[in-house]
Amino acid sequence: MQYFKRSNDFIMRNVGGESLLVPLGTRVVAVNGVIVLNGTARCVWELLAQERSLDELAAAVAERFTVDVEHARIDVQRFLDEIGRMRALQP
Amino acid sequence: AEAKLPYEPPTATLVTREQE
Repeated sequence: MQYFKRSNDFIMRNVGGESLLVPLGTRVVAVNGVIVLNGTARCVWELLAQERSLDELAAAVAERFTVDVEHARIDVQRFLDEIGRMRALQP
Repeated sequence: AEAKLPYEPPTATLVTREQE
């Protein structure tokens, strides 16, 4: 089973009611900006402080939001792919 | 029962410095 954990090269900050991932160190140049997370993404990002499986993440999202586990699983997988491309996940 | 939050698919939007 694959496990996911967030990169230490980003820090989350709340600015004007938005959740922003701000790159640190060498990632500043590579990212050249900030990443805006919506509420669900923020929840997943916080969970990714520890190693999590896709099933764990989907179950946690379904527990907190009005969505079933199957749909959450598909959406969370897409989100992980997205932030993986931004190198916001540990390899 | 604890109310659940309205769901939106999780999204990560890159906003570049130029866009800012």
